[in-house]
Amino acid sequence: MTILKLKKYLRPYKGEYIWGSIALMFTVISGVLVPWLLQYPIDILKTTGANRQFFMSIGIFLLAALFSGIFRYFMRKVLIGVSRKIENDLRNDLFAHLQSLSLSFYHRFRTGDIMARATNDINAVRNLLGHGIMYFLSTFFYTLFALAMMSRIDVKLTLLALIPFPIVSFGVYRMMKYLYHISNRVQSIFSDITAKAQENFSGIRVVKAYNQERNQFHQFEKIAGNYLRQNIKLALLRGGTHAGITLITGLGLVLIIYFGGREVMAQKISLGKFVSFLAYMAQLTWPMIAIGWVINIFQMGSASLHRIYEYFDIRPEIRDTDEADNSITDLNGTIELKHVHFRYNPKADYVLHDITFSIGAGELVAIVGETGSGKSSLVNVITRLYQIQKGSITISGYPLEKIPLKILREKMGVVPQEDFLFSETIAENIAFSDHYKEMEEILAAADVARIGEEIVEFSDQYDTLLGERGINVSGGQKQRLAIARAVLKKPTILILDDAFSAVDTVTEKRILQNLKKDFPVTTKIIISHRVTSLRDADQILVFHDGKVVESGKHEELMRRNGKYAALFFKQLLQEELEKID
Amino acid sequence: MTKAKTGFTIEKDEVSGKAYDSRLMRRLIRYLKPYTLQVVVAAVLLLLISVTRLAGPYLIKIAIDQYILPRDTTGLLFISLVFIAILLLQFFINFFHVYLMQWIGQKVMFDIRRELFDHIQHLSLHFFDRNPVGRLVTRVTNDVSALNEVLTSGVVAIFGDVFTLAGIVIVMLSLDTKLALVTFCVLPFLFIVTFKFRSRVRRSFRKIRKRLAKINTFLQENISGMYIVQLFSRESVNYKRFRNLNRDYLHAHLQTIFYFALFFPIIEFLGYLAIGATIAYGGWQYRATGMTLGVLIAFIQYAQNFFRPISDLSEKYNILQGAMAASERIFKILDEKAEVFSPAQPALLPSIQKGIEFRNVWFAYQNDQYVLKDISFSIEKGQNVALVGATGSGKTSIINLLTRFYDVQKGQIFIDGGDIRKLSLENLRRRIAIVQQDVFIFSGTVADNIRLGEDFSQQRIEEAAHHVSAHEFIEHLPNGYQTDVRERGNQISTGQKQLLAFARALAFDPEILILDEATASIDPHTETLIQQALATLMANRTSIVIAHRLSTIKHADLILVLHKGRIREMGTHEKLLKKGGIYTKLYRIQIEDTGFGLQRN
Repeated sequence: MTILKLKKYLRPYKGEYIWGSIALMFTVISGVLVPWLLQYPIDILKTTGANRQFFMSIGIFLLAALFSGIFRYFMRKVLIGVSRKIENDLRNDLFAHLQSLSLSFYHRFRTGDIMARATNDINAVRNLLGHGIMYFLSTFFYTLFALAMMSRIDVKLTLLALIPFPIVSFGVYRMMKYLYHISNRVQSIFSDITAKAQENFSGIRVVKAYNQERNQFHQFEKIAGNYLRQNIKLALLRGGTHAGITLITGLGLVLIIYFGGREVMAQKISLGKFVSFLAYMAQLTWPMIAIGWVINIFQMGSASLHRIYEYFDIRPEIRDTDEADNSITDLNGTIELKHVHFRYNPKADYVLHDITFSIGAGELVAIVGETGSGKSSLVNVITRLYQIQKGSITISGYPLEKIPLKILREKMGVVPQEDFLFSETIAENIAFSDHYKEMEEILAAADVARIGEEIVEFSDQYDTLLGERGINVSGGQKQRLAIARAVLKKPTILILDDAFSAVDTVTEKRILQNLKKDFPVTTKIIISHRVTSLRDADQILVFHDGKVVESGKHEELMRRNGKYAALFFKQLLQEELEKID
Repeated sequence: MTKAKTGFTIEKDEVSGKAYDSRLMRRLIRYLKPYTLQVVVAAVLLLLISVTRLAGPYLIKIAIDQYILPRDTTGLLFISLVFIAILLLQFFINFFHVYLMQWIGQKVMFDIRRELFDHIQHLSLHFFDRNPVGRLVTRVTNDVSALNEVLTSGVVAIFGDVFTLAGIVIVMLSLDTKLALVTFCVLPFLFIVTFKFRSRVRRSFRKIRKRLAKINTFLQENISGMYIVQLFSRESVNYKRFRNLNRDYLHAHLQTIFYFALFFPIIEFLGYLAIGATIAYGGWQYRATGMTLGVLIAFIQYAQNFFRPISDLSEKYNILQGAMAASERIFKILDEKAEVFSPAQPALLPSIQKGIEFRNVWFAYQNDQYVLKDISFSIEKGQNVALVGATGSGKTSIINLLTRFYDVQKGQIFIDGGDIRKLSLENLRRRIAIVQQDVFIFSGTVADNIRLGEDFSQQRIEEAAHHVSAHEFIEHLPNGYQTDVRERGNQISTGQKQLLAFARALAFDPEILILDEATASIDPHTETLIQQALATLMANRTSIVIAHRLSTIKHADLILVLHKGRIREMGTHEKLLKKGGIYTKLYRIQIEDTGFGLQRN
């Protein structure tokens, strides 16, 4: 059973489960006892009237009720509490596991899907472990004890009372299944509504330009009408189930009133016992419904557990293998690629073809090329966020796989193309790699990236919160913060992937000067669309369709009059154009 | 066109969050008006349900007092049959009531949803600039569903509970006033406990929601930014943070569990206390007053029925609060007025005879930040005009104004000498077809995407596709014109999407063609097809093209050179090239782009 997979999570709470189950047993026992005790005052009253014994019996009744309450308190607190604690452990572990997975995982699964498993599915599992187990046990024991007590009053009546049980339980179970089916359909029509609205609102220009408002409205109305009909069907089922349960349990009660009443007349049972019996009947209604419900919780919970374990079973693709050499503790900045081939998944085409080049320590290398030419993929494989399929990459003379990931990442400062800042303070974002960094170093990094002057303009300066609850910075500020974050590491290899696209040319040139001045021994790989500011690079690599088509210094490439030269001239013209008012 | 959007401030999305707002409620109730009869019937049924719910214990009382104790078997059978009859009646009423309520709720939801959808799609593009699509979708979907809760779970359930409570009180009082008062003794305690519990739980629920939101934000951010986390080796620090957030969340939950664990047993015990007190007092009075055992037993049963609705009532608060917030957001959108609209008495324009004129047009997306400054030009019928300029020079805005996606701030735009604002939007847009750079493909088949919602014949569709050379690739799709474009495996390339959009434009046979040429690289074969298609489309048609292709520019009758919101140069290709100004530079960039670069200096 899938639940066995959770053994590891259940084990630490063995004690609590035992204690909770004991409380549960007592809750059930006292709960069964309370209606039983109701018969005494009534019978005493009927025969002798209100005497000492009568009031005593009421006292006992209330005492039992009090105990029932106390145990119920412990039962809920312990058993449901445990499920929350396990949820907590499970979510922590899932998060840690997600952190260890390679980027190819995030390429394969969408954020929404991962979020759903970390929230909804964990919730369903928790529901199984808490309410599911609690209701299962209490229903089971309650029914058992209640039936025992009822049969002590009268076996024949008990058998009669049992009649609605299988009908209701089975009915609820089947309804649940059917309801699940229809709810799914309703849900999918709801997605259709969402999709239609999404489509219309995103394509509003086309809708308006082609006068399609009326037709769009009719299409939408059709889907919404379908949703309406399915929902009414769902309501009919729900209403039917609810009314049906009331009817069947009510009929069961009438059965008992009639036959039980005759037993009372025949003086086979006392009136008090009769009343107790009716009280049991009333209390058994819930377990009948609960059985179907519990089954549902278990089914949903185990389906979710399955989905969660689908993630747990994925092993990180990129990790330190046996090859990793822990004696490597430092790197110099030489990089060499030999016949590197890479694609994002086995079915797709290669995005890097036979890439070969080498970079010496401390060099400034510019990589240029159109969008989709493979520049960012190159960054992904050099940083070992993805694994190459063919060829070799060596850094500092070591094959990439031999370098412990920790060392590799420590020595590299990367500004990815999609800059991403976290909802933390500016200082925390800059000191992202090591939040114990001294303030001076943070200030220095901000100055290198030429963002320092702007940060002090913010209301809380370096303590200004970014993101959802904080302020929104401009695209250019974001890029420069990301640069500060990378240079703070004082990396051996610094990679800037299109990090200046939203930064003006003057600032870009100043940042490049700072990098050359402050990081003379760091290898600097700069990917840029703006080739004009990189003309004094030690080496320029021109990418096209996943291949290196030109390489060399600026002058050589200009003489060649190929792709690079075209790119360079185009940008010169654009810059000239900018200057015209 | 997304580039025009940058810099827009997204409106804040806040509501007051009251659980009950009479103004909103009145407005909501207006939607019930078409269903007045159904609502009245539902209310009557609700009353009947409360009555039948009360009948059970009363029947048991009669059974005990009148038949069981006096040993009347036929009477017992009779009362049992009455009971069954009432149960059956209750079943049908219950069922019909649920059906009716859902029917009303769903109908109202349907009405609001379609009204909202239609209202939104008629709002101006300014509105769409300010409101992200995701938010608008939520309004039409989730918020409307939340409204349904007010009707079905909220208002109705509350009335039902109140009816039942009132009924129980009345029956108990009429059965035995003093005994009833004894039973009601626990009520003050019940109210105090419920009230205290509610306020505590509300507070801790709020805490839970806040902390859950934190976990979700953190999770979302870490999943999206995982590459940064890994590149900067932040795993252990972030794990610690996550664990702390998670722990805070757990503690908030444990607190709530504690309240619930306490509340339910207390309520239950209070119920038993009421029963105990009733029996004790009843027993004490048994001989003195003529109270029967049946009454006592009925009381026990009523007391049990008493407590559920009370704790239920407090549950409804959250639902109401959520629904009120939703309705406030929905009404906010319904109150939004379209900024661009048709005049009350539109002028008629059967077809274009002369041409288009922009006269001293000024335009800003946001106040005073003009993106078009004093634009004047005129286009004669049948002319092909190319708009040329760097990104952000205002080319797209000119198109946006001619189609009246936005209205000008200053100046006027004329078609055949009449201001376009005098025409109905439909009439104006019927003259124009627009093909955008990012072609928008709707779900559905290829044919659906050409005809959109119109009932064009298959022949007309295929002819249009033929003329723009799209027929060939469409025929090669798995189901030809009936191929579902959104289905996996049927994905069509960017170039093919362009051809499809051309076919769409041609099928609508516009008098004015507006085209934003794609800049994305397209394979050479499709590129040739597109060139041919363009020629077909623009032949004998007034056209305005945001041009990126040299061929389009060279063949244009008129080139407008835009720079920083102004028209700086105007004329034909040869004339402008001789000038050696902005156009020459732009032209050179274009040449470098297409790899035709020859002489450089």
